[in-house]
Amino acid sequence: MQPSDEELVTAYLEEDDEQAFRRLVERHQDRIFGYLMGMVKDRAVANDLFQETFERVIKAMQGQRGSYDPQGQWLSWVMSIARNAAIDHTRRQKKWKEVPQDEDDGRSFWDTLEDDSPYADEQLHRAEQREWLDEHIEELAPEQREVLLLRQETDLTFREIAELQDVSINTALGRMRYALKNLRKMMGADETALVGTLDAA
Amino acid sequence: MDDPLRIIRYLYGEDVDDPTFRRRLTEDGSLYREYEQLRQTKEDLDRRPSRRPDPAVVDDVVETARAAAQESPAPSHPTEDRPARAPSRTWNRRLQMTGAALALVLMVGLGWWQGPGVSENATAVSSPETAQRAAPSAAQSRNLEAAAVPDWDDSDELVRIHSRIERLQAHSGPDSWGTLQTVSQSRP
Repeated sequence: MQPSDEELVTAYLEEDDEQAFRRLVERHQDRIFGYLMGMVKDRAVANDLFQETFERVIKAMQGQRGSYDPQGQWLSWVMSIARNAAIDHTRRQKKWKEVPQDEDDGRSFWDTLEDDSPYADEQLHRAEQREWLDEHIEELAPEQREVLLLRQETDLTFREIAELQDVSINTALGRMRYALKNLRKMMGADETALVGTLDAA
Repeated sequence: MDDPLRIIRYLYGEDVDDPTFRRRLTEDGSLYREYEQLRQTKEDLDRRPSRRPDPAVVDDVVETARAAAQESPAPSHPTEDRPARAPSRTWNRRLQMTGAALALVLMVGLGWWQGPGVSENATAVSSPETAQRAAPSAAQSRNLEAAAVPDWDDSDELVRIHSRIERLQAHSGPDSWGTLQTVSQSRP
């Protein structure tokens, strides 16, 4: 039986069990990093924000900064910190008018190397599909994009997302509904365009 | 809550226990079409491969957590044994003086026990058996003293010298010195 997040947090805080903390990070890394990647669209920046998020998390858990509540849901609390880190980054980016020098598809150098495994084609197809979807997600309104990323990537409930964004649950649900509908429209438009291109050929 | 919003919750498994909404979904054609469109979009999103940070980043995070845990005191830890308290100077001095006094008493006691007076007294108050054991040891000590003195020289020469000394003593009586003493006393 897998220990709960709260049990792992207790093991880390009361027994200095760093392996418990590693399990926590590895359990939720996809969710947190997926959200950050969706927000900043740059793998290197997402790595930095992931690290920055956990530095804040560790300080708070060790009592150096007082926002940690042991009775609450650990992941939703960590996500609030990740969200603040992403917002801080976006503000800094706007302030300094940073423009990415290279187009980053979210893959590391090793991901770009050719793979001879039999699943290479399938992986490439999925990566292309992911890239295609990410481009559309990026076109969504910021508030819709954030709700979609929080629900899809981090598995937070709509009530938790509403609390995180400080809005009503109906507002969070409405944003999600429009995000999905707009995404469907964009994908449908792409498919229509693709069919039109094939017909013309 | 409006039905379009309930679709979203239902889609993400947060409102699955409401049988009335499920029945309405199957009865309302437009509501069902919207549900199907949103469901397909969600399926496309679900098929995206997950993304995770570089392993080195995770290692750095865990290292930071380890260092932070070591730096901060954990109040719930079992308290360690208190380190031994350094002895005070007063107690040191008292111990030294007591030790010196004990050593002095021990030395005096040994001297008293080994001294001659004590051994004689001890012999006097001891039992007859002890006295019997002590008697031969006294005789032995006397034999040792006699052995240390040279034997009496009774050769002829010594006898002759002894008899001459006796004759000289007989001739030198106090009267022969009395005249001289009188003369010296008569001088004013």
